[in-house]
Amino acid sequence: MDAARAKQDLEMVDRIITTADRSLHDNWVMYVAWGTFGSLVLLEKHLIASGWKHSADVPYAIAPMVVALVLSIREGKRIRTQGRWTLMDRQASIVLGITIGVLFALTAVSTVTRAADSRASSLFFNAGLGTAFLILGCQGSRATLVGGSILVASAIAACFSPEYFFAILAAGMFGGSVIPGTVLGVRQQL
Amino acid sequence: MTDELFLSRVRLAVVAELVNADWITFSALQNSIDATNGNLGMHLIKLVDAGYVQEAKRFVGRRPQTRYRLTQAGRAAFLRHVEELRAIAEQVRA
Repeated sequence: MDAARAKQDLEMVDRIITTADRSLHDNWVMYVAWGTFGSLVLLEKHLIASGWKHSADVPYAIAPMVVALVLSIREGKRIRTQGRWTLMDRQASIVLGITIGVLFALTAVSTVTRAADSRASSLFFNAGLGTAFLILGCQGSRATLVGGSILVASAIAACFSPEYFFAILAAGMFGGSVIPGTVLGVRQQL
Repeated sequence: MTDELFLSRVRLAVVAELVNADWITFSALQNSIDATNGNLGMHLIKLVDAGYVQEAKRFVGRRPQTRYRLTQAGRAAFLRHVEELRAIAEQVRA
């Protein structure tokens, strides 16, 4: 191979690699659906803690969870049809999958065994999800980075206000997941 | 000594596309590389046979979908080839 051909090949490789799609394909539907579910659950906890409600309504939590599950399944099917799955997408699915799985398992176990109260579980959820968002956001998505910052900030802020503990976490979940999801969705539609 | 498999521009382009992806479907590769169906298919077979690229077939709904990902051997061979190309290009400058 001569030098001219080597140079042309290098230029072609460089062009492909620099223009390749390495971005995180944010699933805005998931952010909005699961963020809404989390916000509603936390809001209900606030209403109970502040005496506005006596107990949790199961349909109140189940209905948005079913909607979120249906949307997640639909989103999963859409992902299967897309032509390209970047390394960043793979990392995001692993990080979020493990984080959310661990948080749900911990919440379920601590609810059954009563090892930790509802406040601790909710605090871990916002902080854990916020940390995962921060890790992914730093690498490939400004909206996810902002969402993670809001979630972690809400977990810290809630510790300073026992009276509005769940309300602050609910606002954090809404601001850290639903708002970035909506921004991403609008941006994708434009 | 450059890797003979990468002497084809289409094969080199395919591997360069796969470097930053977890997997890419045949149609997405075709759009990026701008090669004909048969031509791209033939080059992909050679890359798969060499163990540089992994092929997976499945159905999405009722439509068949073939997708590809780079293997560790393919990634190593690609990096080696790029180093060799750089060395050849540098020789002339020196």
